Amino acid sequence: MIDRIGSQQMSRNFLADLNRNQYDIAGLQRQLATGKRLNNPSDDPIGVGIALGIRDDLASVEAWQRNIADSQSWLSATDNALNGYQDIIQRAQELAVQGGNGTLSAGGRLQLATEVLALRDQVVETGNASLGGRYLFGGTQTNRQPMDGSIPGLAAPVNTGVLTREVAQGQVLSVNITADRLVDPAGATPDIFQTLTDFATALQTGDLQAISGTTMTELDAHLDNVNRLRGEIGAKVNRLDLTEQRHSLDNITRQQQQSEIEDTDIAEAITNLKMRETVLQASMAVGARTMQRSLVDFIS
Amino acid sequence: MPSTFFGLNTALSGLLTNQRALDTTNHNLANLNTEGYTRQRVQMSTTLPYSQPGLNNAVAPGQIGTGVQIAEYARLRDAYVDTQYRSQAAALGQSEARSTALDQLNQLIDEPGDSGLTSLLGAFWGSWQSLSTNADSPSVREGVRSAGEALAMGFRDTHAQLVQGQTEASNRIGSTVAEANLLANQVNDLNQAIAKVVAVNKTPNDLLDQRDLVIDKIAKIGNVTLTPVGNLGRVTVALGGQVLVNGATDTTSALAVDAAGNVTVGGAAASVTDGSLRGLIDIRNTVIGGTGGYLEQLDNLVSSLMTEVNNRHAAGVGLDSSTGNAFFQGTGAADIALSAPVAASTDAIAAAAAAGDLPAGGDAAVGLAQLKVVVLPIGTNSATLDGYWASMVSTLGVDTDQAQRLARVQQTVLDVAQGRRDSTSGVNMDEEVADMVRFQQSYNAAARMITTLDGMLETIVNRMGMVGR
Repeated sequence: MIDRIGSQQMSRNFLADLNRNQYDIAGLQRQLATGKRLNNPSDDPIGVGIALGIRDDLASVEAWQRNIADSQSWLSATDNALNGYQDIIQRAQELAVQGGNGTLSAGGRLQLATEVLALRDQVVETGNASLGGRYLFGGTQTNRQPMDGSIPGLAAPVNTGVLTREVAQGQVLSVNITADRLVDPAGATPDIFQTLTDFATALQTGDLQAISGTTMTELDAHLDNVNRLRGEIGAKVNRLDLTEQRHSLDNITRQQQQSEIEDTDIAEAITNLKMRETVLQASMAVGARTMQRSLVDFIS
Repeated sequence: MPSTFFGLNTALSGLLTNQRALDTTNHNLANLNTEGYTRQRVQMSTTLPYSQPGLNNAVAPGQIGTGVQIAEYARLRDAYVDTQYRSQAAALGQSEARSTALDQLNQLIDEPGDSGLTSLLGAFWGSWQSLSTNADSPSVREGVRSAGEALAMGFRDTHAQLVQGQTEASNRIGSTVAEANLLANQVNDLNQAIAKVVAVNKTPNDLLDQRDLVIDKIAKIGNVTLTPVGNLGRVTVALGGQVLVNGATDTTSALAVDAAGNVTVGGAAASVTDGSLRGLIDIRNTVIGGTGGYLEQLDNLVSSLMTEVNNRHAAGVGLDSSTGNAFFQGTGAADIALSAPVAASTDAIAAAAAAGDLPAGGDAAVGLAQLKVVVLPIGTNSATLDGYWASMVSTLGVDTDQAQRLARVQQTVLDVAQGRRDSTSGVNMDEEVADMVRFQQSYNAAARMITTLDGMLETIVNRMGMVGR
């Protein structure tokens, strides 16, 4: 029990209380000025640990989203090219039907043969489709044309490398289709160049049986192949769409969490600030009244 | 029978004593704001009464008072409160030193912030993700290189800040030790000055105040114990159990702290468990430095990062077909930097898993980016690289928060102790003014007494025997 107060003690206590109040006010002011509840690790050590984890996650998601956007554009360019390739084969099939029914004159068949050879060149062109200067079907060798127009055929050596990227935690996806898979369907079917060359030769020599037989079968196989490839691309696009949606949702949730942990609750902070201000003013008013009065003022 | 002039002396003693009392009040008021001042009181007592019993006593009933005298100029101080105050001062000194140093680091590491290591790590992993999709793009490669460079620089900066924190602690340890030795000398000087005054049977109140103030300052540096020596008012001051000021021999021993944080007084090992010296040594030798300190943790993190990144990088193939290259080089957080091949050309950055995958193959880059989520044994923990850093930040936050809380609590406790001390020893202006009035009235009364006696003498001397004149 303290029943006697030193004069210094009064001002010392007053200053200590004033300091404490001002310290609290400074903290609240910083919260309001920066809009952040967490400015230093010591503000809420556990919260900061969580906040750093969330930042980490956000950075990951952002990188995956970038990868997905990049993959989507690659896939859609590939699909466009495949679409063109499909058109070529369908045109070849039309020509095969036309050239194989025997009503055509030899001159007409030669004309068709010319068109078939033109289609073959178009295959080379389609196979060398590129996106931003990178060849879509070149495997990992994106800086070299995968098809050689002078043979015509695949440029040697054939690159079958896959382009992979991570699109979600641990989910690695290959986005490219290599030229060999494009021109050379699995099984006994020769590649598209051979098929078209044989077709043109058959047209020139009038081998109608070969046209309506071998050529039709082979073209069917090629059409199946390209359909399969487009299906594969479509499936990947869908999968990426879903993954992207998940990432977007994730992103929103994480940002909300981050905001809850890191951001100042303005209403609460201002209420607290007002409260402290009132206390500060009161303590200053009291200090001003008590500290300037002493017995000296009342004794003449 | 007392003499006619007997009362004059009594009144005079009242005059003189109250005058001294007023002088003391004056001294108290003058020292209202003097640090370490202890209020003084004039203890008054009656003088020897008249007369002593004896065979040939003057004929009078009982004894008659002869006035007032000053028994002592008392110094109102409570040694127990002093002991309390000093142990709290030591505790505050420790937590203050700790919280100041930690708070500085706490603000420097910029977490959570946009330029902290978390952001740099995130940017680094992100750059490898980008590289995996665009391994043949020189600009993306440049992005990886600059993210790596920024990360290495971030680690070097953090390391430099920690070392800077250590250096500052070292400097403060140096100045604290110098201060303690200076204060020890002052105590020694005051011991001798006090002894001289006590020897002639006087109370050296103001010298005692000075000595107590100096001891208060030493108490803030480390845990002190005081032992009174002899009967001349000397004290022996021990710091951490070792005698710093020897009151018996009037000598001091030098305080010293070595680089390992061992404290010695006069060459003998002292156990300083409290005070700013302890706080500073802790910061330098166990919190930042030492086993499990921040520096070691950071080095653990950096060496794990370098090992893992380099392993994965060396397995890949660069655009220039080079393989087996490290990405980072260095021995730890102090000197981590991009390896020479990577620094020389972005083509050395290995994104492809095999030479056949050049230039667009990104399997190695994917693998490197995935390192972000791999749990590794780092130091004594298992964590991802990012997670380890986050836990370091959390640890620093907890340490700082605790130190700050403790410092605030200790400040409050010390304020209470200071209050108790003030309650006994502090000067209260109102009290002194009331005393002033009191002593002045007594002084006036004594003076009036002399006037009265003078009137009485006047009657005897000048008016008596004048019958019929």
